[in-house]
Amino acid sequence: MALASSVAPAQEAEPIKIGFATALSGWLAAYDQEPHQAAILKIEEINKAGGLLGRKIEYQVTDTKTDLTLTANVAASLIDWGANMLVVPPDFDYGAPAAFMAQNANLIAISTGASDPKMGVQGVGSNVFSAHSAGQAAGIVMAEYAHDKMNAKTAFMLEDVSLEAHKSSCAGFVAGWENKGGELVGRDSFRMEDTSIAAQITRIKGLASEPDIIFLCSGLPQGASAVRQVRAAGIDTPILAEAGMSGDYWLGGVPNLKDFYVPTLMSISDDPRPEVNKFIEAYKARWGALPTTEFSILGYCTIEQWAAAVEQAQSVETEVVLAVMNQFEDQPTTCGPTSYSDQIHIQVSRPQLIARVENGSFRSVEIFRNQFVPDLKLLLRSSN
Amino acid sequence: MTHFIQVLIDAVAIGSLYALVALAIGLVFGVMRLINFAQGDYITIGAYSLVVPSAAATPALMFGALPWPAMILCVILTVVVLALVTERLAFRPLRNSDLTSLLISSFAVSYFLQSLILMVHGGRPKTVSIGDALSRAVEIFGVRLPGVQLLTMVVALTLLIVLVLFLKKTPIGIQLRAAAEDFQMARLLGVPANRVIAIAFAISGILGGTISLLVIIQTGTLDIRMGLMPTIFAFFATVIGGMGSLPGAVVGGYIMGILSVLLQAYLPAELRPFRDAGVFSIVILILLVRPQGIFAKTAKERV
Amino acid sequence: MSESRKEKLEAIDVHVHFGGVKALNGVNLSLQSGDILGLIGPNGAGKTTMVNVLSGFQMPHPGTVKLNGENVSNLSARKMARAGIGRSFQSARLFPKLTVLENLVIPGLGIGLSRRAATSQARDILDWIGYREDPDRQCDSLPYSDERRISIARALALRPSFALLDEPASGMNEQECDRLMQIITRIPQEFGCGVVLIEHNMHVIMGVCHRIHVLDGGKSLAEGTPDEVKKDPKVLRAYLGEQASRPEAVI
Repeated sequence: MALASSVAPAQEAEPIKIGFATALSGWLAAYDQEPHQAAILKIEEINKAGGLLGRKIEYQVTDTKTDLTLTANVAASLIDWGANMLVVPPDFDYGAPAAFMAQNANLIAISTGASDPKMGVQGVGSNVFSAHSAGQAAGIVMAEYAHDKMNAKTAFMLEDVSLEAHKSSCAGFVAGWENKGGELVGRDSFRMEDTSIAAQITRIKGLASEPDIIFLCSGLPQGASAVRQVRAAGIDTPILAEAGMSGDYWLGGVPNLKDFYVPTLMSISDDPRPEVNKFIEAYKARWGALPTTEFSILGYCTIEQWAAAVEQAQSVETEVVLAVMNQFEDQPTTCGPTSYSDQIHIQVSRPQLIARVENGSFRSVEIFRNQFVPDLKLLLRSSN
Repeated sequence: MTHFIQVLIDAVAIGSLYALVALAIGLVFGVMRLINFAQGDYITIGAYSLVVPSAAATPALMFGALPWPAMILCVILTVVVLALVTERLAFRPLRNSDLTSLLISSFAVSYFLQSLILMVHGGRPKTVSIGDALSRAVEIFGVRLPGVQLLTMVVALTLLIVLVLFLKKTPIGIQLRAAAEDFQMARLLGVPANRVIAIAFAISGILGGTISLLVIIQTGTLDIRMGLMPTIFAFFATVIGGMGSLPGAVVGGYIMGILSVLLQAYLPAELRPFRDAGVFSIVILILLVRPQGIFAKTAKERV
Repeated sequence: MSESRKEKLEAIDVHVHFGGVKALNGVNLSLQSGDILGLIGPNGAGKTTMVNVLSGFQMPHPGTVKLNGENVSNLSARKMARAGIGRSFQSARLFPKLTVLENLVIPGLGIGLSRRAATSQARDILDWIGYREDPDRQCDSLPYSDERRISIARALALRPSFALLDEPASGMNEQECDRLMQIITRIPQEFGCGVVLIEHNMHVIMGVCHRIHVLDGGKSLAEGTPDEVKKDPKVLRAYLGEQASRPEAVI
C-alpha cells in the first residue's frame, strides 16, 4: 500500500471537474457556443501545461436547449457528476436556474456573458459571478468616451425599452454623462415592435440645436432599424451604441453608415492587443475557424480567472476560492483587468475596445476605460 | 406649428400603413368572418422573399436584387400565392365552422408560417437594404418628408382608389361587397362563394406584399415577428372602425396611427414607454362610447 | 319574355316537425308556370315552413319536393336558387350598403349576365315595378315599403321559374298595397314564372291569386279559387274567431 501511494504519478491524482450547462441548441446557442469552445481551448491549454494544482481538468457539457426547466436539471446532473465549478449560460434569465443550483450546492458558478448584475451576490447568490461587464458599464464607457475623446457636450438618448439589458445601459449612460458634466438635451423611447420611429426622430429634429452625439441603447434588429431611419431622416450626428450592436453582419441594412461607435471586447480582425490576437489564433487552430463573435473570449477568461483563483487558493474548495476572487483587483486576464469584490461579482470598469463603422465594417479605434464606477444602487436599478 | 405639421405627417404616414393592413383584415373578415392573424406573417414572408432562404447572417439578395418593377411584382406575387394557398388548405375546409374554430385556425396558420421562416432562415435577425434612393428626405417649408413616408402615403392612396374602383365597378367587386354584407343571401343570388373568397384573399396578399416592401424600405430589417404589431394595430383599427366596414377599417387605421404618433410626441418622457398602453386605453374608451365601431352597420349583423 | 314550356313545382305529402311540434303534417300542393298561388292560414299554420321547404331552407321529413318531376327535396337553398326557385323574405334582407341598382345587379350577375346586361335588366325591372326614385340610393336608408318592392324585384331579377314571396304586403298602407297588387298580378306575363304568395292581407290575396291554398295547424284545410275559398265553411270557421279583430281582412 505505501509503495503504491509513493509512486502515484501526478496525472493519477483526482481530476478537477468543471461542468458546463451550455445552450448548444435554441436561440441562445448563437451566444453560448463560441464562449464554450473558447473555454475548452483554455482547459486544454492548462492540461497541456501540467494541469491545475497538478491535476487534470475534466469537463462535461450538457445542452440546456435554451429551456429554463431543462437548464436547472442540467445543472443538477452536473453537480451529481461531481463538478467543482459550473459554467452557466451568458444570460441572466437563462443562466440563473443553473447558477441557482450551483449556489445551493455550495459551488461557484460563473456566467460567461451575463450583463445583468443580478447574476451575482444580491441576485442569485454569493457564489455566482459573471465574467462580463455590467450593462450599465457599457453606457458609462460610451458617455465618458464621448466626453473625453469626442469633446461632446450635449447628447440625445434614444432608449429601447423592450429589454432590461438596454434600459440598464441607458441608465449607465445617464449616470456617466451627468458625472462628466454633460448635458442631456433630450431623450425618447421606442420598442422592439415599432415599425416606425418617425415621431422620435421628429423630436430629435425639433431640438433647438443639433446634439453632439446620440446614444442608442438597443439591440438587433430594432437598433439597426432605428439607425437606418435616423440616417434616412438626414441626421448625421455621431451615434454611440452599446455592445449589442457590434458585428458587421447587420451593416448591410444601413449602407454607407458613418460615425457609429460601439464598445467591444475584442476585434477579430484588428485588435491592438497581442494577447487577444494570440487567443484568436489559438482558437482558429483548435476549432478550424476564426471566432465570429467577440463574446467568445469571455469563455476563455472564465476558465482563466477561476484557474488563477484556484492557484492562489491552492484549493478548489468554494470558500477559499471565493475569498480569493472577491479580492481580485485588476487581475490580469486575456479579456483585460478583472476585478471583483464581496458585493460586486461583475465587471464595472474593464477597458473596452471602441470600434467605429468605416466602409461597411467595424474598425477598432482605441482602448478606453471608464473612471466613473456604478454603485450598487445603479447596478440593481435599471431605470432612472 | 411646423412641429405640429411634422407630427401630423408622421401620423398620416404610419396611419397609411395601418390602414392598408386593416383593409386586408377587414376584407377577409367581411367575406368570411375570419380575423386572419396570418396576415402579419404574409407581410413577414413577403419581406423575407427579398433574400435567399438560408441561415446565413448576411443573406444574399433574392428578389431584392431585381430591378425594382420586377422586385415589386415578385414579392407581391409571392404573398398572393401564399394567401391563396393558406385559404385553400387551411381556411376553406373550415368555412362553415363556428367563429372560434376559424380564429384558432388563423393562429395555427400564423404559428406554422413563423416556424417555417425560423426553419428556413434561422432565428437571427437579418438586414436588407432596398429603395435607398428613398432613404433621403425632402424638406418643404421646414417640414421634413422622408422619401419612404411620402411613398407610403402615395401608395396607400393609390391602392385605396384602385380598390374602391374595383369594388364599385367590376362584377366580382360588387359580388364581393354583397358577400361581405350578407354571405348567405349573396350565395342565394348566385354569387360564387369560392371565387369571391379567393379574390378577397388575393387582395389581402397584394396589400400584404406592398406593406412588406414599404416596411423594409423603412426599417431595413428582417425579423420573424415583424408583422405582428402592425397586424394587432390593424385588428384594433377594424374594431374601432366597425367590423365588416371597409371604410371603417381605413379610418380606424388612420386613427391608430395618429393616436400612436400623437402620444409619442406629446406624452412626458416617463410615460412614453407606455405609449401603446395609452393607445389601447383610448381604443377601449372609443369602444365604450361606441361598441359597434364608428361605421357600424345598421343592418342585422351575423357576428 | 314569354315561356312556352310549362314548369311544375310540387310538394308531396310533406311533413316537418321541430322537436315535439308538427309544423307540417302531410301537405300537398302544386303549381305551374304562370300560376299565382296564395298560401294563407292563421299564425303558426305552417305557411313559412312550407315556403322554406319549397325553397330548400328546410328538408321535408318525410315528404318530397319535385321540380319538373325531379326530386329536389334534398337540395340546399343555394342549389334550389340555382335550380330556379327565387324567394323574398319577410325581412327583405337587402344588402344595406349597396345601392338599389346594385342590389338588382347582383342576381343578374348570378345568372351569368355581363355587367352591362345585368345593369340593363336591373333598370328595366326597376322601371317595371314603378320605382322612380334614385336608383343609386343606399338600401339602408329606404322606406319600408320600397324595401319590400325592391326585394321582390331582386328575387325576380334571378329570372326564377318560381318566385316565393313571403308577406310582401305587411306594414303597407292601402295605396302601397294596390301598387303591390298590380306588380304581383303582372309577374306571370312579364317573367313567365309561377308565384307562391304568403299573405295575411286578404284584400291582396283575393285580388291577385288564381288559386288559394289554406293551411291550419300544419294541415291543408282547403284549396280553390278565391271565390270558392271565401265561401268554404271550414275556412270561415278557422278564420272567423281569429280574423274578426283584424281590420284588413275583407272576406
